[in-house]
Amino acid sequence: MSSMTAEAVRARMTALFRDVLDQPELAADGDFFDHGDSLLAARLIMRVRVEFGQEVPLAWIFEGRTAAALADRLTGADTELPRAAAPPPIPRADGQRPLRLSHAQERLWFLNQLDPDDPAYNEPLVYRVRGPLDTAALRTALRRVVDRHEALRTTFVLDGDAPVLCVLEDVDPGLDTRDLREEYAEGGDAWLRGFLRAEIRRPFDLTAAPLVRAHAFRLGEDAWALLFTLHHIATDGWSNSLFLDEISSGYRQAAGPGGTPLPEPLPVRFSDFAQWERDTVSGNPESGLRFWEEELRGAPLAPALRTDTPRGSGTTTLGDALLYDLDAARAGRLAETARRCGVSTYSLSLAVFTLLMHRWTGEADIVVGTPVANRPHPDLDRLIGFFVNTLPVRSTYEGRETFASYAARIEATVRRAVEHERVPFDRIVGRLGGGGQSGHQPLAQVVFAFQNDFDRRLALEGLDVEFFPVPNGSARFEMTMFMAQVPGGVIECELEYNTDLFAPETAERFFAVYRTLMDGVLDDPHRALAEYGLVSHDEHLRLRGWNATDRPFPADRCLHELIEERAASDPDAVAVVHGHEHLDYGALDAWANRLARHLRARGAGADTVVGICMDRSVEMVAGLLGILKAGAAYLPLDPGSPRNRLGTIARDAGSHWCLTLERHRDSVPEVEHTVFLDSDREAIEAHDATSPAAVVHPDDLVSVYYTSGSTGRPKGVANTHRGWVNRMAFMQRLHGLRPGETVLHKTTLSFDDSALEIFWPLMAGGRIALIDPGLHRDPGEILDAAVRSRTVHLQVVPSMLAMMVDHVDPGHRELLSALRTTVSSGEALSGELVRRHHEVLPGALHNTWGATEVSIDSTTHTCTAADVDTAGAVSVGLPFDNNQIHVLDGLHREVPVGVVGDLYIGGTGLARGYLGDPAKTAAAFVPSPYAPGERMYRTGDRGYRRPDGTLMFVGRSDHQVKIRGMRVELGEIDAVLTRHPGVKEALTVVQETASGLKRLVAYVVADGGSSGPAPETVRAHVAAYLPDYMVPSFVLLLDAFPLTPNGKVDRKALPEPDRLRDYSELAFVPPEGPVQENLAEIWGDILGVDKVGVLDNFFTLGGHSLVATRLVSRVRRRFGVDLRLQDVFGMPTITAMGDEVERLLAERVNSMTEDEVRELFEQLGG
Amino acid sequence: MSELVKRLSESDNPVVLGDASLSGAELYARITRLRTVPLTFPGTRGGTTLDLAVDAGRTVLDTADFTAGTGRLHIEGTLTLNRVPVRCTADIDLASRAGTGRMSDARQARQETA
Repeated sequence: MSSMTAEAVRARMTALFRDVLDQPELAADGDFFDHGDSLLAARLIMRVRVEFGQEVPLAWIFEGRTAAALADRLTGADTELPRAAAPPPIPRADGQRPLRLSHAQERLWFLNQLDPDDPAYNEPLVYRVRGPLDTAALRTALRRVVDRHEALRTTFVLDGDAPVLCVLEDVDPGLDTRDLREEYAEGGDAWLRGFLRAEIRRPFDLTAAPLVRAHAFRLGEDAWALLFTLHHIATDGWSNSLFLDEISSGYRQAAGPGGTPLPEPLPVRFSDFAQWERDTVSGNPESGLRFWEEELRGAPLAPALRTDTPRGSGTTTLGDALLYDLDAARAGRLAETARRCGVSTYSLSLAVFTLLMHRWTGEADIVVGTPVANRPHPDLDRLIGFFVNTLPVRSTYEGRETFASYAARIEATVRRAVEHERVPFDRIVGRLGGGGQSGHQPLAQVVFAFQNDFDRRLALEGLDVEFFPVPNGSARFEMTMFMAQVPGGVIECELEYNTDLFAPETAERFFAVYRTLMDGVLDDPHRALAEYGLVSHDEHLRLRGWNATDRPFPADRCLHELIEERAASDPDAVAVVHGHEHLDYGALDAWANRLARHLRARGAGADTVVGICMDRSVEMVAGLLGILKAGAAYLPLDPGSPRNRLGTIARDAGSHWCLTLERHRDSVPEVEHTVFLDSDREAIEAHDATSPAAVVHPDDLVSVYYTSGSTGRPKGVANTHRGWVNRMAFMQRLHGLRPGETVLHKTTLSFDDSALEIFWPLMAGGRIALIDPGLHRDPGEILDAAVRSRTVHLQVVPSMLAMMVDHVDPGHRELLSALRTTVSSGEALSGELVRRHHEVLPGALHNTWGATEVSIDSTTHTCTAADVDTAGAVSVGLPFDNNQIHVLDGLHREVPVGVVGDLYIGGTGLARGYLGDPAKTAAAFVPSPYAPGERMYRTGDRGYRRPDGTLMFVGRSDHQVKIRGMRVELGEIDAVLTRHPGVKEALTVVQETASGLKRLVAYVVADGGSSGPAPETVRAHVAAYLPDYMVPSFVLLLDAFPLTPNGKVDRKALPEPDRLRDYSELAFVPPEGPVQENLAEIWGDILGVDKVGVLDNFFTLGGHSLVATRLVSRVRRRFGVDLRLQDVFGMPTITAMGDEVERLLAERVNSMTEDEVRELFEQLGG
Repeated sequence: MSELVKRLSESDNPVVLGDASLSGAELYARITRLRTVPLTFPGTRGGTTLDLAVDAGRTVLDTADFTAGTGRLHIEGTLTLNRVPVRCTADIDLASRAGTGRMSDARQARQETA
């Protein structure tokens, strides 16, 4: 370079920029990143190093961005830079040795073995041609390309148990010419697309060459459709451009007077590259792999996108694509914005995409794949073959970061990745341990491809040729966003999606949100990431429509007033039944009136709180009504809970009164006025039976329910009459209880669902049938009670419903004819449970969701047969009367349909807040941005809306859990645990068994020096302070908690009680019998493991997909049976695989002679 | 004594056994197997539906055909209404499920028997 003038360097550099970017008009001061990206930058630098013989750092192109700047820097730094040795030529592969596949080819070959008929990797290039097509010339051109590029005439065969390349000479690809004028005249373009798609999807046989098919379909006198289908194992995007370019020039030469000379001979063949790649990358993989290991440490391996249809055990490739063009104006704004942010157009587009992934999934750490050309040597520039590699791009999200800063971070990530682009994707996956998992692609299930180097133009001399996109009906990944700059400044966007996983509407919304985000970024790239809206104006209107739930209800009445009306009109109707004990409305009302007067005489009144500590009984119903008639709110106190806890709650609620029965004397907390409804009966009955006419307003307190509190102290939800009346009015509107009909009351009073079982029937003139205390946990007893009482309605938590449906026998079914509705609440309801309910119980099943803080429930969903197929929890439906649900992001803005957000509830049912705790109230009841002056409740639940507006619950944003439908803050249990003198630290988690049973597991670290308290002692300690459903099933003593690198407790590393036992049993179980022993030997051999136990997992021992094919091959040789590749994934233990091999052997033996059988068993050593 | 019990004890009252949705077979099962059957006095203010504990020894089913849904039956049983233990008797036409019935204070009945 020293001999070149600065001017010459600048000119040469500009030429290089133009060539790499394919921008012949680019000026010396033109910005590289207006057209190129980090990937092309790497290619440019490679060319610069070769051209100028200098070791130029990649960073320079990012810093200078123009040819002029790079040239100036190069000439200025001439003496400081080390000389770049010209890259040694790629050596010729030894034809005497088996020709190995490239890494990328190996992966595709393996996928082809898994499903040879899968057309996902058939690459179509389709064109409409007008004019006199010379088919002979086209055929000649095609033949010339196949002659020139051995990748197109290579087959893939097994050499032993490994695939090798077999390059054929003299392969004529032919040109299939067909006259389709009649069919096209009849069916038009729609027919043509279908026809072409079928042709594209025809499988390739990788053991036969060529791997390109060419067709010329005549559609009119001078109208043609040209189709070239190449298998991806022989090509990639870059290669397709070369293919088209050479077809164009070949046609020109063959059809014309011979104007265009033949291209120069290629310096290398694809087989040379494959061998060179193995020698250079595989020979010294460690530094690259170490980089990726570090880059991806702790990255999520599981898919981030939630699918519409559950992922199966294997990956599928059925797909479709959506197209959208960014017009030249917006594309120009995109380039301009990227320039202002100091990043490439590619990086900016990718950053919008990764931001979309964060916001769509709610995940703060995601990995997206991005393809790179992977042509790390100038001699590969003109070679057709499958070179492309996929790089995992990891992105982390912090909502306060500005987009511009985030985009720069993404660009830096890509730049780092490009420095290590040669490490094959499969090697990265293998190093991270993500191989062998079925059901989804490892590591990157979503891909972003910015194809500014993929020119799909075909130029046939004298003809009018137009690209005619026909997707092949496949999707190689779950979602792939392709963006391609095309002539005219337009950016073509294509979203390819897997149709087995996503509904078209979901893909359309995903695409739409990308555009909305992109618009936000183009408007202002300097806003915080969390501030970009995802919802378009139309979507806002739709969301609002789902919250239009206004419906009249008795808003001016209190709960007890509506019951009084019933008592006045139907005094002889039975209100409460307990066994064969009945109380009519008149008697109930009179009793409650006397009790109310008794309480008022002792100071109770509006907005005071009266405890009620008794189990299910007629007295309890009278007591509740009496409290309300006194103008007070009731405070449920479960006599089964520890007295300590009841005392805490009563004090916290400021309750000076408590109603109870003599049998609960030992449980009742100490308060100023304890009223025993049985032993104080005479005193109560001394009061007048008429209503005390206490002045109560609908906004006065109706109840205070205490729920678990995360800080160790339970919190009291202060509900009002208005909210509860609205809730009961909805019950009646939906379920239509008729006078005299019965509702079973079985729920513990301290669970708010019990209010539905009590107050709704009383408002509607129905009967409440009480189940005996203590029987509400027995599904058989509940069913018996439902049968005896002829209940028309059941209110259950799913865990109880699951037990009930298991208990239903024909005797029950025959006598449950009155049952019309079952309502599931409090926990997630599974599709499987819906199925079982429909099979054995009569009537409809409804699923509800809500919170005590918003009057028990706010949404409802009537389950149908369609719910049966739902993976996980079924929908919780739409908000009902006077409730509004908002799915919001961290800044309280609506998120689009399908996107997970925090669930907020607003509306009439809102409680006042937490009694006596303004701080907690303010934190949970926040101002509503959607109803000025009103509040909304932050439930802590997370979920999303389906396209019909119905809500899906996906989990919690905190550590609150539900046990048997009861809310449990694990922090409250931890707080009690650490109050034990022998416990220093505690952490409680919920563990779900295979059968779906949830149990609490407490991990405790003993206080210094002590050997630790006995687990039973710790459990007893917890039981003294907390209700039984909050007492851990297991207490495990640990020396110390396992910690994450950030110093937090690593919950995933906590030992599971079951696995503690399993580990000891799983030590080593030796193989038995010839089949297991032979299999273990094969495993040990191909996995390099000394000792293989029959319970060991093939993939845990280091197996991956390619090794699995070897295993299949070895099994075939050893046993003479064909184990399917899928079986290795489905039966990854010696035990399971041995059973299958024995089954196959038995089939084989049936058709063998005795001698053959003897020989086989001798060979197996059996 | 409860005013309602008093009224229903004074004379025969219209009664309905179960309701229209209750099949003959289910009714029979409830009387003979569960020994609990719903009996409604529809003439009261709001209608009074009671779960009667069937006294098998005093209940006569022979004159009813539960399969055909025809015939008459005499049913007796006990329950507590508004804290008053009562005995209930009813004569029912199975086809219409309607008939007459009355109550008596079980304590008085016991005293009289004694």
